[in-house]
Amino acid sequence: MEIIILSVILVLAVIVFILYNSIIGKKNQIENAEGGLDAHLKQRYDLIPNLVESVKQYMNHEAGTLEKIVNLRSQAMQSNISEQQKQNYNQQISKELSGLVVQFEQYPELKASANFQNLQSTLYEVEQNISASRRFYNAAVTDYNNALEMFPTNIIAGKMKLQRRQVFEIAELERQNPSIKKMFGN
Amino acid sequence: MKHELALDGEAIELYRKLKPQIDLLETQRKHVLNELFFYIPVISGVTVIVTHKLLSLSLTITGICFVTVIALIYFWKTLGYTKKFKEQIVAEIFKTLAPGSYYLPEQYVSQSLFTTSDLYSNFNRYGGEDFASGKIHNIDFEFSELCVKYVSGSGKNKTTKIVFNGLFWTFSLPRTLGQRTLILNDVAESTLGSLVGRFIQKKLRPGYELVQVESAEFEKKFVVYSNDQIKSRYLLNPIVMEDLCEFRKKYRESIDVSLQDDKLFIGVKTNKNYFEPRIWNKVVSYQDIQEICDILKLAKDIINSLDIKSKLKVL
Repeated sequence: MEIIILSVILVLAVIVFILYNSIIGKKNQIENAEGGLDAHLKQRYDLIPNLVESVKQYMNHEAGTLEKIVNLRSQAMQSNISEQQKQNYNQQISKELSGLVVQFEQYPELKASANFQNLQSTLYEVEQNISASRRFYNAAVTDYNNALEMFPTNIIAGKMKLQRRQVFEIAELERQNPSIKKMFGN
Repeated sequence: MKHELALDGEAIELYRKLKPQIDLLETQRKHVLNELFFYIPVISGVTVIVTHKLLSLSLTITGICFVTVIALIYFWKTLGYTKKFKEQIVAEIFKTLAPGSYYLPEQYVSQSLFTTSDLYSNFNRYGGEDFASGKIHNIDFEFSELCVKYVSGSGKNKTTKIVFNGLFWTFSLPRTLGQRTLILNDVAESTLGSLVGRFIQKKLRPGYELVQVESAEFEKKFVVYSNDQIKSRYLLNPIVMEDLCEFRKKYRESIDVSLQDDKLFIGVKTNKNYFEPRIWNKVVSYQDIQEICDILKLAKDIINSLDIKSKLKVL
């Protein structure tokens, strides 16, 4: 009888151990996705000053947009803002950059510049990587949220007092990836 | 869909261009057929008389001799016709679809490249035919039909498992895309359901992570593994996923894609022998040319959809 009870306890312990590890794995996967996204956002922050510097002499009429992008970048880089605020600023940067890219068409001299062509290729790649990182983040968050709500992992997650995470709302423009490339007319 | 899948116009033009050769081959086919109708009854009849009546061999041995003789006559009589078909029709199709390419009917893609793809494993018999090489979208490619098997046991216990039978492309990219990603036909999840299927999928490819994508339709048809969750999604954006689903729907064949750093591989499992001429029916019809064009164009479409050219430009 004792052996049976001990066996049952052992099996239950193994199950709890597996479920606990699986939840921790999912939680860490979100951190991994966040890290990847931050790295690509950082690449974009680094790219923006070069981009603005390269285009401002050609695009006098877009001075307001350029200034807005620079300000949004500064706001997004602040360390004392919430994740939600950071997300909002970055989505606004994406929107403003897409709008700016449309305007490039009207500046043939700018489009002919080798430096600008290099920058636009890099921007295209960075935007695609940001989009891919967001999709990875969303997949990781969905997997984690499912674990928080589905039986039996919800029991363990409840004891661990884990909270649901929010997924990124990917804009329709971004969903139709790669929008920036299309705008460049490559 | 942003990519045109069928090139009716191109196939019609190709058919018109090949019409003189097709007509000559059609004449040859009728001649071969007449010879077969003459030689098969005569020689196989003589074989039966010699083996059964004169040598008094058993019916089983007579039957084996009869079938062997028919196969040999068929092979002997159709050899030249098949060779001409491949040299004049298939080679021309490759040249039209991939200008500058060359075609070697008896060669095939090397085993080392096939192994590098990591798409299929556990085999001990490797063979193929209909090798072609050239450039598609300025990217070097090699193509062939392959038949890859795992044979175990011997005699009555001999078992043969087909690991891969179909069309295989390899593309040598000018530089690496920095990832190892497999896009495979889904079996586990579609047969065992998402919970058990996904659990099994996670264990199936050591060295790769399972990549879960947001498209439910794509997830039903394919399973994705990669060593880099972000780069694999960079490759596999929503448009690519939509396109791959469309290709599956259109070709109704299992399509597997592998990206191994600077090599891209496409495997299409099919039982259809696209590059063999018909004997008992018209040598080749417009529909046949269309089918060959479509299946060969599949690789072009996948390269277009994956947007490899742009990705190479920015890296």
